[in-house]
Amino acid sequence: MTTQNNALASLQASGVLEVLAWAAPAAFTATDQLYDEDQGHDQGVVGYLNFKHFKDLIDRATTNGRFVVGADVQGTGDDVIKRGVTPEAFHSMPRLAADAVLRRDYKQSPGWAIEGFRLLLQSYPFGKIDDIKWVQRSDAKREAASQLYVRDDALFDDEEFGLESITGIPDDNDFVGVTLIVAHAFDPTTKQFELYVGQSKNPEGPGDSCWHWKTLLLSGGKPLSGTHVSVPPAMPGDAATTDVEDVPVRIKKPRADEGAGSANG
Amino acid sequence: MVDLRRPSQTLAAAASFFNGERLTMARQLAGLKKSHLAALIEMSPASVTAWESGTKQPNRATVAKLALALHVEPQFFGGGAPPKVSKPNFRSLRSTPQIAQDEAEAYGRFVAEVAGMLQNAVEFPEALLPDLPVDPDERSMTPEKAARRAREFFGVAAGPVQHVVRLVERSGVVVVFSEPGAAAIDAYSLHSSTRPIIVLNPVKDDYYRQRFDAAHELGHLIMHHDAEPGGKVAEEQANRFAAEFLMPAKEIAPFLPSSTAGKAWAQLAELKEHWGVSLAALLFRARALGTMGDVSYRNAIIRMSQNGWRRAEPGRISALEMPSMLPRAREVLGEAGVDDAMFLSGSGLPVRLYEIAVSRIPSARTKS
Repeated sequence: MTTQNNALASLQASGVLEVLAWAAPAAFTATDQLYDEDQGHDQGVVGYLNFKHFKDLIDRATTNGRFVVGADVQGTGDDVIKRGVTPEAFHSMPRLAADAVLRRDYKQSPGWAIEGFRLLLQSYPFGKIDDIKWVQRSDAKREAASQLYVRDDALFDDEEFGLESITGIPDDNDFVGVTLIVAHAFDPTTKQFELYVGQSKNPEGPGDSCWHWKTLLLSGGKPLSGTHVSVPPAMPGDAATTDVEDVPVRIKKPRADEGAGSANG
Repeated sequence: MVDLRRPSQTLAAAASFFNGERLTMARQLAGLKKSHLAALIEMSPASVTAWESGTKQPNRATVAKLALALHVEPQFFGGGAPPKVSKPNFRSLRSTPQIAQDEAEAYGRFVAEVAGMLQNAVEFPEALLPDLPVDPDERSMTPEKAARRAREFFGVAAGPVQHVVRLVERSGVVVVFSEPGAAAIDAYSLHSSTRPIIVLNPVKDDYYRQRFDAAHELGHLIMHHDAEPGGKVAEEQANRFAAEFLMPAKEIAPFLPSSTAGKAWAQLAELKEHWGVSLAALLFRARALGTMGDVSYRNAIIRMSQNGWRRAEPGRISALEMPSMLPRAREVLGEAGVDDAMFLSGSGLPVRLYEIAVSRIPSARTKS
C-alpha cells in the first residue's frame, strides 16, 4: 500500500473525508453570502472567510473547538450546533463520535488528528493548486512541508539498515504522525471551488512540485450544486413580452364614405 | 371625391360656424401664446382673445390666415365644441411650463376627437375601467388595494402583467404617443367625453420604464377620477399603484435580494426580464417591502450611478410596448379604401398630428 493510499484509507475510515466533503461547500456558500467586491473584498478576504467557516464547520461535526461538550453536560448540545448554519447544512452534517477526531494544533494553526495523521488547512487562489509556496506561508506550513517523506520507490528503506523511519515534523512533541494539508479554493465570481488533501513539500528546484502527493476530494463549477445553495423556485406566471395580439377592431359598415364623420360624433 | 365644395364655400362655412374653443385648441396644439399667434397674422392679441372667448367672429380672410398659421384646414374651426376632457395628470406640475401644459391638454382633446371620429367608423373594445377612488388620507382604499383589485378586474393571473398597453387597450383606454415637441412632459393621462386616454412620452425610449409609466397613468385613471391632479400625494399614490400592479408584494417578495452582494445583480437582471420592470424599480421595491435595508439600497444606487445605469439600464428588450387600437382602426379604414386625407377632410384636423396619434411607434424615432 502506498503512502498516499494508506493516508486516504485512514482518513476515510475515520469519517474525516466525509466531514471535509460536507464542510467545504457549506463554508464556500457562507463565504459567498458575505463576499462583496463593492466593499473592497478580494482573494484575501475569500481565503480568510473560507478558513474561518471551514474550521468552524469541521469543529462542529467533530465536536471540537467551541463545540466541545463539557463532561457534566447531557446530550449533544444541538442548540449550539444548529446556530450559524443553514438548516440544510445542519441536517446533512455527518456526526462523528466526540473522540474520533481530536484537535492537535501546530504553531497556532488549527489541526485535526486521527491515528497517524493530522490535517492542517491552507487556502489558495482557485486553479493555483500547484503554485503554493509553503515557505511564504506560516511557520507551521513551512515546517509541514519539510517533513521527512518515505518514498514508495526508494532504493533502500530505513528498516533495511535497522533504523526506524521517523515521519512527521521534527521537534513537534504534541503529535506523532504525518501532517497533511487540506487545501481549499473558492472563486466567488464563477462559484468554482476545489478541495484537495495531500502531503506538501518544498520544491527542490525550479519546476519541482510543491506536493509529494495530492488527491482532489471535491470540485464544482457554476453554480454551486447540491443542497448547499438554495435555488429559488420558478417565478410565477409568464414573463413580460411585446409579442401580443392587437386589440380587435372591426369596421362598422364597410362603406367608403364613412370617413367624413363629424368631429363630435 | 374628397371634398366637392369649393375653397370659398369651405371658408364661408368655417367662418359661419366658427367656434372660439376650437381656435384655442388649435393655438395650443401649435404651442403658441395668444400674442405670438397675433403677431403671426398681424392682428392684435385682444382680437385673438375676443375670437377665442366668442365675443367676436373673425371674417373669412382672417379664418384663412388663422388656418394657415396654425396648420389646420379652415373647416377645423367649424367643427363644433371640442370634446370635454379632464385636467391631465402631470408628473410634476411645477416644473411643467403653462404653455407645455396647455399643449398637452389640447393634444389630449385632439386624441379624444380622433377617437370619437374613429369609433363612428369602427368598433372599439368597450371602455370599462374600475372606479376605485383613493383620497389623500387613504381611509377607505389604498393604492396597493386598488392595484390588487385592478389586477382582479382585468383578470391578470399570478405573475407579471405581460403587456400593460394591450391590457388597458382591451378595456377601451386609448393609448397614444405624444408629439416629440412635448418632450418636456412625462407620460400623462386624462378622462374625456369619449374614452380615457393615456399619452406616452416618446423620448423616454425604454421598454421597462414605459411599462411603469403606463401602469402609473392607469393608477391615476382608476384612483383619481375626480381628484385635483398634479399633487405630490397623488403622484406618490400612482407610483405605489404601479409598483403593486406590476410587482405584487406577495408574489415578488420571495425573489428580491436583501443586498447586491454576490449573485444579486444577476438575480436582479433575471427579475427585470421576467417582470418587465427596471432595476431601479426592483431596488425601490425591495427597499419599500423591507427586504433590503437602507445601507444596501444606497450602495446599490451608488453602483447604478457608477455604471451609468441611472440614465440607461442594461436590458434585453429594446422595442417599446406599442399601442394597437387607433393604429388598427386606421389600417381597417385603409383596407376599406378610406385613406387619412379622406378620413380627415370633413374635420380639418391636421394630418401630421393625426399620423402621430395613430402611430404604433413614437415619432421621435423616425427623426433620429
